[in-house]
Amino acid sequence: MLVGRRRTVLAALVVAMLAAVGVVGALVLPSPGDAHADQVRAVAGSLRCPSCMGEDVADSASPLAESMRLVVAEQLAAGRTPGEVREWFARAYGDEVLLDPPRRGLGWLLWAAPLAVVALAVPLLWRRPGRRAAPAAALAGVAVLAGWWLVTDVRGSVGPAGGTAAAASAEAGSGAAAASDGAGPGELGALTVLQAAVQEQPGRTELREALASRLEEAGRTAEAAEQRAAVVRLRPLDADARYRYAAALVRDGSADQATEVLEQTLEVRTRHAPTLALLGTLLRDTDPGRSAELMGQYAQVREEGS
Amino acid sequence: MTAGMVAGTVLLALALGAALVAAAAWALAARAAGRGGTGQETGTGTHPPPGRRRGAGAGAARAGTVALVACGALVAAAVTLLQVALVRQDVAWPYVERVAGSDMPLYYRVTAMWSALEGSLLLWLLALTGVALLVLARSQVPGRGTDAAALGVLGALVAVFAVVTLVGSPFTAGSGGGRPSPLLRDHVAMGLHPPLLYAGFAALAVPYALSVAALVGRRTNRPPAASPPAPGPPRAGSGTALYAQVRAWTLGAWCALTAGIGLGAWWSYAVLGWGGYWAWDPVENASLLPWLAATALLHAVGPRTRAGRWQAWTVALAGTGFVLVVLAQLVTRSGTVESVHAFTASTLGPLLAGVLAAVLLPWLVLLLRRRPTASATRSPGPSRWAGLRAGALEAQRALLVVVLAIVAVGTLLPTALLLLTGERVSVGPPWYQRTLAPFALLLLVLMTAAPWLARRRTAPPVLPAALAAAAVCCAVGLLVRDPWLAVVAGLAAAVAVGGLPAGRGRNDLRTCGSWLAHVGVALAAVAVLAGSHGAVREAVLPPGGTVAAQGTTVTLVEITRRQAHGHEVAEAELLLGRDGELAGTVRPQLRWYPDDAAMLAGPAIRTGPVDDVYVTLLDADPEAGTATVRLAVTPLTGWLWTGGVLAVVGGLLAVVPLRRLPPGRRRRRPAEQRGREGRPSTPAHPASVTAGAGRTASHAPSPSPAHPGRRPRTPAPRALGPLLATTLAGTALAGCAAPQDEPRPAPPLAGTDLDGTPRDVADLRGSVVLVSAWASWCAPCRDEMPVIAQARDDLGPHGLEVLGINVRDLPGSARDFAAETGMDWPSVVDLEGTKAVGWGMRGLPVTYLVDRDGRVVDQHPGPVTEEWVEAVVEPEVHR
Repeated sequence: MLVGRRRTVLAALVVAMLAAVGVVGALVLPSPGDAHADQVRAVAGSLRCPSCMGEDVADSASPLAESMRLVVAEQLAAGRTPGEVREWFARAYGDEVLLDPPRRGLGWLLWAAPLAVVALAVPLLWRRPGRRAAPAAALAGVAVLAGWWLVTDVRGSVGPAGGTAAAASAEAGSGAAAASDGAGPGELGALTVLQAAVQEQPGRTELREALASRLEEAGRTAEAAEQRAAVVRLRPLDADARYRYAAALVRDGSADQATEVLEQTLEVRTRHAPTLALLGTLLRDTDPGRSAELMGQYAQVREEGS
Repeated sequence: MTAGMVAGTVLLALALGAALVAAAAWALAARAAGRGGTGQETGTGTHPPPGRRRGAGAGAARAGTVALVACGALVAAAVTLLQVALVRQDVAWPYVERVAGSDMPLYYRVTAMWSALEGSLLLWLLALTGVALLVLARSQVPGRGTDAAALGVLGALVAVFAVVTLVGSPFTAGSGGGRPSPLLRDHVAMGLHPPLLYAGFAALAVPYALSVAALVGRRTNRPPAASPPAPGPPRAGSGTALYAQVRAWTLGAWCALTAGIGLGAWWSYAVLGWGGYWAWDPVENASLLPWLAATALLHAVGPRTRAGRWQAWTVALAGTGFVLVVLAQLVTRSGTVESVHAFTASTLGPLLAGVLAAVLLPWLVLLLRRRPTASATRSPGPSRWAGLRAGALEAQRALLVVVLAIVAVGTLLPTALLLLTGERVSVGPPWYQRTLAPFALLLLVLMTAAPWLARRRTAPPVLPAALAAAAVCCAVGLLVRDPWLAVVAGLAAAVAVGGLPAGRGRNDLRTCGSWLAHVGVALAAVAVLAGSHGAVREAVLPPGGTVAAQGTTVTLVEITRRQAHGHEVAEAELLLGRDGELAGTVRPQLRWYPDDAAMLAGPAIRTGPVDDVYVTLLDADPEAGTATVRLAVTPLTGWLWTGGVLAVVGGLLAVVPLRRLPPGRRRRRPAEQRGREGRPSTPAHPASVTAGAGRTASHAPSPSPAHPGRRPRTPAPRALGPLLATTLAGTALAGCAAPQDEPRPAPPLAGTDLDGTPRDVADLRGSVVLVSAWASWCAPCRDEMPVIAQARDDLGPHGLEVLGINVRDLPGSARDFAAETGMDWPSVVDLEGTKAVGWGMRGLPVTYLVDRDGRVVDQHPGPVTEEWVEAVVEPEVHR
């Protein structure tokens, strides 16, 4: 029932409101905040790798880049802002390590050049405003561009600094190292994934070994020992697998079973060094004579090997 | 030199001769046609010049045709000769041995032709020649004015590049120079990327040639439309044949360039393993510049976007496009600009610079002296919107040119500064992203308004597009909480909904093509912004170890090693888990090519509609069973490639209708156009900002009596020149701080030495200290030990101390090394290399000289030499 003009106005209002809700909501609602590793990556991405051609420190695989990433992580964790970290690197390596040239020396030219391009281009190319407006248009273009840079600079320096403080306190609280995003939910997820994979391919010993390592890390030694037992069943002649099974049993507290397994291993392979050492250690209290003999054999095998 | 190589060189020389003959013949034909009468180029062709001139013109045209065809055949024969040698692996040829040495499959042997500098020059020559032949085939009446001149220009271009190819010929190339990287033998896409790019570059030569021909023949004017065009779809044949040809060739070039650049970016992402697709590398930028020029040209000459001074824009941009192509060749082949992609530095640099001058200067001179007249076409529609529409279209072209100029500045200015002052300035992705972001946003806004800016039968309704934009903006803003992504996503939705073509027919096919291309670009823009919301994590994994990022985990199962032909492969098998569920197995690889001493990473990528999982194997230790793995989860990467494909498809759709046009349609309105032969009267500045050449606008006001409707030219904004000069001078003065020559205080260096004793360089304050960085895995470090020991013995009594830094080493190996080389000074252990980073270490060995006040006064990369000790260390000790 709304006629022509009113309908247009109403439609325009609806559109404007939706858009405003979206943009303002994005600005105002709390964003998840950068994880520490993301900040390290962001700062490292703005540094050029000095020993490679054309790569930044975040992507490069060279050892120097790894060391530089560690330095960036240390400094950010200590509470410095990204700008301060970049300045530190500029002092150590020279301005050319910064991928975004600073506002000093020749870097000024690279800041001024886009402004100059806009100042030249607006009156030359865009003749619409008419005769007198050309210098004003040029100045307006330059002002808009410079203003944009200032705004994004300010937002950029405020955000990560706040995030750094929060991340640093969180890390200090948990005492975890910087790159331990895999802890917690990631760990559980990985376990489930490994279990699903083992179910799908029960004959693959590598999967079971990986699952067993993971379970041991998570402290579930009994399940780890089960998995290692399965590996031994699948590969009865593999002395290393038997040894790992025995080690898992020891961790789980069943030293007697471990001893049995180790004795069986020695039947399979008499001069397997790790088995000799572990069995010798286990039998030290109960059967010292045998233990000494085993350790002697172990020493011999090691000498022959080196 | 084998017979084949001699034959190839002879073929190239003959082709050069044929090209010269063709150029001369077509120039004669153009002159004859030009003298024969006016109104030739309207496409009628039914009024050939009379009498003797006609005979001379036709004879020259025939000679030109024969010469051009002969040139094409000769170049094709040379290429065939080289290909045959490659396929047969004729290692008597040094070039073949260098490029296709070991046992490579047939496909790679064929594409190896353009994997090195000389062969790629030959491929470029083939592309240019092919384009010239195509123009010859498509010109309906040989001998017609503009076409003849254009063919003459093309012949001249072929001749110039034939000279370049003769200098850098694969037939006479030596076996020196580097082998092409194994990257180029690794993937199918590398065979396609250069030919696509070269096809696009060569196709841009035709608008250049047409622009030169039009300027020479002064035929750039389309008379102003005296009345609004008849209702109905704008006829594809309307406008002069010149502009229609420019449009067709530019569109073809644009499609090829978009496909080539997109393929290069995809290859960089999928094959190289660093996880990105655009590094803002100088060679990449050099191929982007012609693409930007072609896009601007498309929007100036496309019949539905003609507004304002579009003829001037078209002529200027058409020439600029090819000039930028030659600039790209210069950047890629001369080695003056440092880049990963550049071919080895060669003697071609000055020659290519000469070619650039030869291509640029004559055209520029022509442009300035015979500028197209400024006849503003009156746009249809109510005049209230007409000015706005014209303004928006002009703004769009201006924005594209500004982006072009900024990319050119970023690419060339660091090299220029390096050559002039010797100082290095790095310009990388952060600078480009920050500087180009506002312009890209403005361009996106204008692209959203495209359906209403382009001349159409009926403007589509605004409401659905606006509603879609607002709804998507709201949803994305609230879900993702990134305001920029919300805005861009809203604009993309508006592009998709607003431009939906309705109805059928040939011109609606064009509308559909333009809509598809715009949707493709919008999708790519959304993908680029969304990419910054990804997460990257890296870790060293034992079997069973996991790296996790944003709910996605990869768990190491095992590492295997095997031999493939020509290289060794270490492959890691990882289980991929998404939100706790097993989602498959990924197998990233590390490949070692012993012949080239190159280690390449082959990433494993899982593409999904929502995000991409990118797993790279950075390091593998099969004995210990550990692997260094990087996991990157990036949203919407697949949309980027989809967008690229859509853009190319859209461009192809827009090309197709023109070819089906029957010749009769083009000859409409002969009367209108013949009577209005424009003369260049008052100058109008073609607005082209070629790289680095900025000119202040200055022209005298003088109204032309022949066209009374025109307004007098505006007087120069005189303030602009001084304004610019003062801005630059001011920034230079304010910014150019004197380089800091004072020595900086020594960075901290404290830790334990190899025996466990704490050491600190600050304890040695008061003596001159030589800080020497070494490691047991660094071979040259052995050579410098005796020199340092000698220096320590000679200068120790005078106050010289030596302190080492043992960087990224194993304690056992380090102690062995120290014992072997007789190192009897202490060294601070730096297991992770972080202390050395503070000293600005770039490689080993490096030695720093610290004075008695604890400041670093000198730094010597490489092994210490006695000369350095005498020249620098002794004076400092004795000071």
